[in-house]
Amino acid sequence: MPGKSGIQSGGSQGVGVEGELSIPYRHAAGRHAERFSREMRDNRRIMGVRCSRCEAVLLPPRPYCGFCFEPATEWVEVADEGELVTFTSVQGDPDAAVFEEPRIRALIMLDGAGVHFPHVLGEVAPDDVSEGMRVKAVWSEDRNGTLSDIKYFRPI
Amino acid sequence: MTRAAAVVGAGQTVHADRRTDVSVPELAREAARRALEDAGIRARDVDAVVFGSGPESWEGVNRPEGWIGPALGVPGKPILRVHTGGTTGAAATIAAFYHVTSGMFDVVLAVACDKPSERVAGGLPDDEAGAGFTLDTRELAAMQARQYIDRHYPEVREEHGAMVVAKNRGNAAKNPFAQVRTPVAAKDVMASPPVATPLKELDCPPLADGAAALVIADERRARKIASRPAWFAGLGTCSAGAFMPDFDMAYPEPCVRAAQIAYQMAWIYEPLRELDLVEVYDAFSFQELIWTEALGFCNPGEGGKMVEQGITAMDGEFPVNPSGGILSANPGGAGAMLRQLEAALQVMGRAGEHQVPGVKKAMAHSWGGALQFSTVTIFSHRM
Amino acid sequence: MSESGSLKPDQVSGEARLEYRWAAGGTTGEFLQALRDYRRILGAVCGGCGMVAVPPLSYCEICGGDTDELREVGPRGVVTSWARVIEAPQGSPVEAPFRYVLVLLEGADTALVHLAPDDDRVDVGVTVVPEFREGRSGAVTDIKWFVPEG
Ligand SMILES: [Zn+2]
Ligand SMILES: [Zn+2]
Repeated sequence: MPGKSGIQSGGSQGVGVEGELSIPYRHAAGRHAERFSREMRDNRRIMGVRCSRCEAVLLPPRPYCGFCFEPATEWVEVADEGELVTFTSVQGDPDAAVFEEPRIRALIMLDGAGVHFPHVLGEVAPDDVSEGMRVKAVWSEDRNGTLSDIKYFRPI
Repeated sequence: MTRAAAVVGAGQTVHADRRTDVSVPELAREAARRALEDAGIRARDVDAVVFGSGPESWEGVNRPEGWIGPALGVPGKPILRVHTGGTTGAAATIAAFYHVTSGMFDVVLAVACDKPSERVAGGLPDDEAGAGFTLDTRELAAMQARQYIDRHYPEVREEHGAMVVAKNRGNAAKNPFAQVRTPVAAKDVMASPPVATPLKELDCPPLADGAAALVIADERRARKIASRPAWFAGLGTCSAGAFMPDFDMAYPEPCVRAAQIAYQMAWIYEPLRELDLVEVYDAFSFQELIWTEALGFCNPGEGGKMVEQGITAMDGEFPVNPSGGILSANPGGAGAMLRQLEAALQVMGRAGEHQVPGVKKAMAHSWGGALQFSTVTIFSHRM
Repeated sequence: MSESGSLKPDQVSGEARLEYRWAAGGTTGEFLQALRDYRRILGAVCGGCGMVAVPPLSYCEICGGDTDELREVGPRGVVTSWARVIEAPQGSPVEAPFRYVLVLLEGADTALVHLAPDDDRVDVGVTVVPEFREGRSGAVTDIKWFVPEG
């Protein structure tokens, strides 16, 4: 829904048109995302699907494999722990707002999975993180079916 | 390919942090006008237009295809808009190439532009997985860099990323269209504040308002229009799945495959020997090293050595990004077309102060999306 | 900024709030400033084909040429088509019912899309004049609508 728009004139800055849009959205999550979310929220389980061709266990689950574009139909539970593949300690957001504490983003290869799982690390200082370390999910008590149902992964 | 095609004219705007004097359509018009002037043809000589731009939230105008088409000065001609993330500008060129080689059109104008200074923060979330948890490009690139360094340490170290920045910024000093033209030393890069480790501030690109345009013609028209056209010799594109962490980011398969397809088409067996230079999409310093390897110019892990020994310098055996690359000018969707434009100009011998002597074959590369799109274009001085 | 989505879990929903600021460019900038500050409507005279377009752009959408100069048009104009709106779309600047009109302003060659009251006198061929708002912000809606003359 478009809000009011108007101009800001300013000599050498030229004329700027300003305004605000508010876009409500709602879309179907799809069968795979629905089960993935429900299993996390209700059962603290991380569910993937196995590709019918290359047999990679895909996370998050999806109807087709991103490598061979074949259907992925068999549901497989993967562990909520695994090995750290790579990470970055992020100092602030792209618009230059600096975080109070760096956030550690990570890709994790969960035991039983065939692809990396993106999440954040907690209970560890950036300097103590190293690739290949074992990490485990810390689940939130207040779960709503999103990836933040896992608060973070901590070193084992 | 049913018939040959070549770049016969090129135009770009200066890439600036912020262009408050022009609207988005006017920015695109600037580049299109220059490309037509460069080719020495009139608007009425253009048979069709392909236009590439980023997502609407990067445009400062809604449905840019509606506005930009008429602004290009070629009213009444067919127009097609393409968008494939960071490779958008390259995809516009590729679509124009298809237009020409199919025999449908003889002269096609490809234009790409973006105005990220007016981008709207955010947008609809990419939560196909129902998760609403996505990595931004910088975080993705940071994790890619770490994976790469970790695999090849100590042959590849953080210093090698800094050397890439120093090299490309030095090259940009000779490119009047570049956005950042002040040289920096590798030690300045190392000393710049961390943003997403191992990336430091100067390992990351600026963001520019800018546009680029190419005139692409079939064999008959190309020979009439240009004395030394840049012929399309090879083209490879590869698109992978949407979930970026799936593949090996330190040696990305979509890039490897796109290169293989292009080499096959161009009959190239030893890229380092047979090509004269490459313009890669160095959105982040370490990516130049990763692409250099994935495109087959050296073995995995040797990217660091390539920059350290000066092989990829402007006056080295195999220059990489003589224009200064994305690290020196990053106009969103136009960035990928700039790689092709610079490679084509090198082949045409018209790159100006950053011309590498005696270029016969040059390559352009780009990546986009969550590392999922890859394009490789090879230009040759001979058809 | 996109607010985080929530899950039903079969539905993903939320709201994206987008703030924007874009450069109008010299021509559109002058057009909007003239509306706001002087209650004047400007058209663009094409250097190529001589057409006068409203709203003005720095280039001509008809022949592709550059705009030569900006020229005041109107304020009177003739309705060339109209449509009655019974249910207002979201974000509509006036309440329904109202009419969309195409107005060919005096001195212009292209019609301006605008609004008119739901008045049976608003019809093809009828001369209309703009009614400007007080508190103008520099938008085409600084003209509230066009009303039949007299
Ligand atoms: Zn598969
Ligand atoms: Zn005209």
